[in-house]
Amino acid sequence: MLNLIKMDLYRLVRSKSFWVMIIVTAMVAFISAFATNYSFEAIDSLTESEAMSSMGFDTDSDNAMSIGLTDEFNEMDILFGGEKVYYTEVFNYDFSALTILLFCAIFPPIFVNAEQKYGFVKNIAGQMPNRGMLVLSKLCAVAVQVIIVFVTYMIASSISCSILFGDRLVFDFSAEFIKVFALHFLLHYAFAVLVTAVTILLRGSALSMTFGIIISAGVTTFIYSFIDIVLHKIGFSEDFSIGNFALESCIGDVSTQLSGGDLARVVTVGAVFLIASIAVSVVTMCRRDVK
Amino acid sequence: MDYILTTNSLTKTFGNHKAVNQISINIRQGEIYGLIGRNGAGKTTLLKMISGLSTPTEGEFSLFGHTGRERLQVMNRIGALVENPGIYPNLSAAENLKLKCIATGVRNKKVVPKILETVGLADTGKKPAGKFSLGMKQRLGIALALIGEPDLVILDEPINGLDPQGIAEVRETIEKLNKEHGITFIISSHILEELSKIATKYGIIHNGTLVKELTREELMLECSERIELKTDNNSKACTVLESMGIHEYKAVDKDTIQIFERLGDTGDITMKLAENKIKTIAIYVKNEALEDYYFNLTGGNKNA
Repeated sequence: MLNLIKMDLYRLVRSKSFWVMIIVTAMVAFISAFATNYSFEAIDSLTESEAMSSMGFDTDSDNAMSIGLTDEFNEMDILFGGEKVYYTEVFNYDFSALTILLFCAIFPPIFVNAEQKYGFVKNIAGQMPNRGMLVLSKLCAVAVQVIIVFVTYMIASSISCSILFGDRLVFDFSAEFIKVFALHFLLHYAFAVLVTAVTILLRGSALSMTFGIIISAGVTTFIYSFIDIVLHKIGFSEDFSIGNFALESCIGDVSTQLSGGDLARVVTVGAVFLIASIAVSVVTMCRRDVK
Repeated sequence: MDYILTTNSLTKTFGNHKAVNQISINIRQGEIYGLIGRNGAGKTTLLKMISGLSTPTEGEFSLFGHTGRERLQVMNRIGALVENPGIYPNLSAAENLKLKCIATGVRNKKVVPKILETVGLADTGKKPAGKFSLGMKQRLGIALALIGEPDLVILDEPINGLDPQGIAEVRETIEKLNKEHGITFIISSHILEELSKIATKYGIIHNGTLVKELTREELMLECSERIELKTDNNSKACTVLESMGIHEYKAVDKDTIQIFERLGDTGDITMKLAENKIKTIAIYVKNEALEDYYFNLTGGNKNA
């Protein structure tokens, strides 16, 4: 098993997609802080009603979109408007926006599928006493990929935030930061493993990447709303929402102020998706003929 | 000598189609086993089952004397090149081999350059394998099968895409590894002439079924020039042949005798048989090329 992990890590650092991932992550991280701050400053210079009108919303109504936007402005105000800008909050804000989730949807399937696509799996699969080890070693490499994305993002965003905010920026690497980091890693890794499982199941990365991109783009919100309507009609509580048990929703829920109940929900969702995806991947690899 | 591989009624079914049907073969250590069959005969499917890439639908096989779960522990003693070579196009030949070395726990750094030299890829340097010619890719595939000093190497159509020099080099490499290291080979091909130069035993597959299994000597005997004699009394005919000084003959069945000497003396033989009141039903000189032998065995001419 250790040999297989070493093999996959050897291949990971020699694959073009790995270096593209690092460069793109760094660029997005660097630009993201400037872009977000620019939006905040532009909106902050207007009154609230001018800002809402400029986006085409009726400021007198209390529809969900305008309330949501108001919340967004308030959050940005907390983040960037105060005397101090706390890096933990910036980190959480960026990751909750699902930008990094997109990378978890693209790069792991490319890496994992290459062994099947180029047929290298035929050189080793027959010699393994347990073919499930081939999957587990890949998932270790995917974990390394996700960690590297996180670290790259942190380094690049730290630099851009330092440039932007100067002395206002506070690097608060405390227990709160570790909690937020760990939760995001669990959820992002679970998502990467889910997309990997779909790749292994379908023997290809195109559909799995599409599946992952759709989820990270937030398109599933409409699907969850439709399911909620059906569930409420058949007797489920109005407070119940299937979206609360989706990975991307849980990522959006992560914050430094997470309650105990929400924390348990987020961790459970991440763990369940992770374990189920690993199980599906291993069983598929063990039972299916190698092509 | 022990059998290194024994298959017992191996069968592989895809839906309603039996790609491999009840195949039982035995391969001894040190043999070079040639698996002959046309495209779609079931050669690759059989090799995939033996090399652990595919699960048999029915039947069993033993490897190095182990069956069932025990066999999984010795699968690392096999090297295989099945279908197209599985190589990463962005990595060099050495890097592709290094990957397999890492996966199989081979730490000796001299292994990769040595195997590259064995297959004639020592000068490829950092050239990505994706830019190799078909023959070079095939050689790299063979090199990957040799990593880990396997005791049994399975090569599925290894000379595909090779030029005549490349074919000769592969043949020499296989013979050298077989003689010097005692490695057993299973080689599938539909190029009979080439296989005949190297294999010591043959299995002929047609429509998923093992049609015939024979040694090289038996195959040569089947294909060599001879007189085919049919009489109404074979046992008495044999006595007559002995009295004529003809000793290299074989009674194939109750009607037919094959004579492997004095091929120009068919007239004398007929007259001698007649003197002894033995009726000659048919007598002719037969010479079967390997391919003709194979086509006759598998009914290939009818399907051409």
